[in-house]
Amino acid sequence: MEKKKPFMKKLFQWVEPYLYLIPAFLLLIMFTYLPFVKNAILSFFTIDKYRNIKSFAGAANYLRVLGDEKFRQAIGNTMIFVITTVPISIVIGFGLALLARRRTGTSSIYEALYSMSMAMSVSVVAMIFQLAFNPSMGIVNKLLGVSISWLRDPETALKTIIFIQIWANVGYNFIFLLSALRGMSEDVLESAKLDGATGIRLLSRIIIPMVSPTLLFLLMKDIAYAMTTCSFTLILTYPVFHSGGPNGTTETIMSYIYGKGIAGSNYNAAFAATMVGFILAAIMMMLSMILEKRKVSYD
Amino acid sequence: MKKMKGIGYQFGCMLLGVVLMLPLLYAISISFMPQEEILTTRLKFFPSTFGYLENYKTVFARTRVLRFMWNSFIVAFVSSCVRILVASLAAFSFAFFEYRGKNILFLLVIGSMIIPADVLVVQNYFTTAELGLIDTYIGMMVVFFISGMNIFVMRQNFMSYSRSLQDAALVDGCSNFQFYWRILMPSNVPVITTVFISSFVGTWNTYLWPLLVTNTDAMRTAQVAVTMLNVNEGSSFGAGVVMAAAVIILIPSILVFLIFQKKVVGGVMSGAVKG
Repeated sequence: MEKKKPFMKKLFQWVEPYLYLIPAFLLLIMFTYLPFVKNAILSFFTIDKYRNIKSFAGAANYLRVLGDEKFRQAIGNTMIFVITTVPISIVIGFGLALLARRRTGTSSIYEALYSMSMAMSVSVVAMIFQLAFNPSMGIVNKLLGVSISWLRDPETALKTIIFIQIWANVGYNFIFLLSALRGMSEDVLESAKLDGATGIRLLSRIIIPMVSPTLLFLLMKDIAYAMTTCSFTLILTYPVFHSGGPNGTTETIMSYIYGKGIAGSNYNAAFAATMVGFILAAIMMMLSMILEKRKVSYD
Repeated sequence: MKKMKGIGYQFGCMLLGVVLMLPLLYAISISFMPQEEILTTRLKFFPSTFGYLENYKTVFARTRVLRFMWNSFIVAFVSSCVRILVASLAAFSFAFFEYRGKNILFLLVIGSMIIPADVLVVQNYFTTAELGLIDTYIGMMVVFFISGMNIFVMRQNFMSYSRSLQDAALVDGCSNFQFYWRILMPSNVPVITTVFISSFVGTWNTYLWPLLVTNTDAMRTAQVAVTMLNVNEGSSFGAGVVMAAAVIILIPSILVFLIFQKKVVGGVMSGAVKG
């Protein structure tokens, strides 16, 4: 006994740090890495609707899904979604943050108003805009004096969803940029102003470089979010069209995956589409990182 | 003159804020309108009578809104607590110990951040179904138990903590776990609060996952339930009722957000950007 104790103690000392990691890694493996690997492997097999492996399929699932016009349309829509919602909502959020940067007697009130959309869930936002864009009783048509079926017309459905998404994102981008702007050192700003830097020059030479870590963070987060977006499509157009909107115009990569893998049971398509979606998201995030790096090193 | 300009500036900022929040004000206004007023083709910004509460009464009488909100609360509260426990234990290990494989393990945590959780919903749905967790609270929460981001943020905070403090505690006869539980966690309440609040608001607001893993009405979260009320033609409730429901379920998250607004940002930023 006497001899065993130090050994046990030593053993415990050795395993102790790993013990603290067990819950985290159990969950990480179960709900991130394992499903990811499983999905990657299964995407190369033909599986039936009970998810039994039938045969090796090579790239056939990928070829089929990439050959599906609906999926290509979903990729296109998702890309349009990313290149519109991400920059526009960051620019608006940045503009609002510049306005609200200086603390005033009432600034905490308008800060709250600017950031409020961050606390509003996609489903509530969707319901409000569903009513606002309703062709007969919605306020948008009443205000504009038109009778457009915003969410059912293939011409306007995607644009409407993009508009809603931008509105929903602004609060989030605003609040992060506001805290970045307020974190800037006043001395640097003052000396730049003394050197005659004003307006656009001050913004592009001093302010933007100083908040670029926050911009990069928001860019990455917004892109990752936009690449996997589907909530507005699922809530606003899915119940009406039982697919991604009028003529598939609001279908996104994720709503396509939802349609194949959850609403339907075409797992071959769903798994391959998931991998394509992941790879595209990773590429977009890496591109934004490279872009940001180059911009930072210029200064 | 300068003061006047300041007031004008503030007024302008305020006006812009009101314009930005018009959709919210619109929802509130509609929620106090009778159906006839909503259906009219005339433009109406405000209810013509003050204090029309039928829509709210209908929400409470005909939907199980309190049950839905309770479900949302349970899911958001418990998963945020578990997430903090799981993340802080891992962060404690990464910040206060030296061991073999630490860097690789930490890299795995970072790597998980580039796999968007939504991409994995189909597989995670199967896992949850195989574990028999469909329509259970655990099933609704389990994917929110882990966040690589939270581990990262907490590790950053713990790192700024000197190890000599740990040594002193150990000399005093504390075990490592006691140090974590009695000293480290209590002295990191600010970061824990921020992680908790951002996680709470985030989980309260999620839509896709609770939609997938719940089938019965009794297990719906507020976010899923509200989308099942339809505002379009043929709705059995009418737009006023739907907006009343929307306003009701917005109240908790907006309150939490307004009260803790500064902390939400501070917490995410401290690890994400400055680190």
